[in-house]
Amino acid sequence: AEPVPAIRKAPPSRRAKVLALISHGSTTKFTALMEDWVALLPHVRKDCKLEQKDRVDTIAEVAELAGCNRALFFEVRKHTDLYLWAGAVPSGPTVKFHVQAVHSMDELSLTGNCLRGSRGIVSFDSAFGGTAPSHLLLVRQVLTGIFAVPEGHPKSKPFVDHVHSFALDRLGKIHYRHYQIVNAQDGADGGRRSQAGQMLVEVGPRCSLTVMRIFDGPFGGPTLYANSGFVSPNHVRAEVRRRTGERYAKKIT
Amino acid sequence: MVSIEDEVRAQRPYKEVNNTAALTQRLDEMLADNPSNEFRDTLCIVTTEPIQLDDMDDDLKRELAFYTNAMQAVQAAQAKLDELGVPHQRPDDYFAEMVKTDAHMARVKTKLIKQQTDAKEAE
Repeated sequence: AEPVPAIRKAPPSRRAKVLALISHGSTTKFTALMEDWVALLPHVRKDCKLEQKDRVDTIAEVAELAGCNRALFFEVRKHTDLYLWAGAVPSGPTVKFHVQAVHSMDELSLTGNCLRGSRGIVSFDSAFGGTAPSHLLLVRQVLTGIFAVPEGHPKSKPFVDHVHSFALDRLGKIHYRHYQIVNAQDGADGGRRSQAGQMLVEVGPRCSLTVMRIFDGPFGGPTLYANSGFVSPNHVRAEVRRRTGERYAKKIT
Repeated sequence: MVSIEDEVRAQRPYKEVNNTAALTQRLDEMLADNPSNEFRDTLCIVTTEPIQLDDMDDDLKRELAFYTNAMQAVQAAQAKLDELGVPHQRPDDYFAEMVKTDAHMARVKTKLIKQQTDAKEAE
């Protein structure tokens, strides 16, 4: 067996923490997504729910008091729509995503499993690379700040056995998948293995993120970017309702 | 086919803002502020190839595209870690708490076995 790697003690800059909180009125599905990320990322600290009356910009203050330099806020509206705010505190910027196709680890029957507290690789597809538009580069930086566990973080284990993958599709949605890295010697054969004999097994959760806006400040401030391709789920629902209404109107005339 | 989403987008366009200069400035600031931006600390990999997505509604093809992309990143990351001399593999005799509990894994297993037996019975 290989020797257990020596743990490099982290200087304060590597002890970065991320605050995660959810709004009141969340459904179990969205809470489960947050709980999954809290379980997967040892440097994430969960805080109590945010009251409806509290303003979003108080989060920056709460995060600073908790000694965090990043914050994730799961905003649930109408028990159906999930918006994810991911921001750097105290200076910003903040990215607001609309989250769709949410499936938690518990709900998906996937065979992958990884160590609690191990560090994960953060993978982006080439759409986030060198010549990408500046808003995507900024989104990548913000996501990396949240999903990367610094080396030697007090609560982490010095192994790398899973990967968080972000891929951008043509419609501008960022798809999130999370896999376990299985080595040649362990586990059953039969999957799609690489030359080195590795294989990925999905662990979950799954979701897709659409960038809505990028704000200059921490959880607020001037808008640096607004996505013209974004469609509000409220408007889609209204359109569907209007169409069913039309169908009825045709019937009675 | 035009989806409802596309129609709504055409009817009620979301105002576009793209302040490239400010975005680039913020990016530079973030890169400068963060001392732990090396690969060792972030384990961040941007793959060299885009994902191959022709048909988003085909579940198998879509998941395969994500899988291939993540696999590329894993290989690149492990090569870099080996180069830096950072050990990253868990020893075989190291056991610790996993993210999914044994009860959860047992549930997944029974579900898989049930699916297999159901498929056999159906034949």
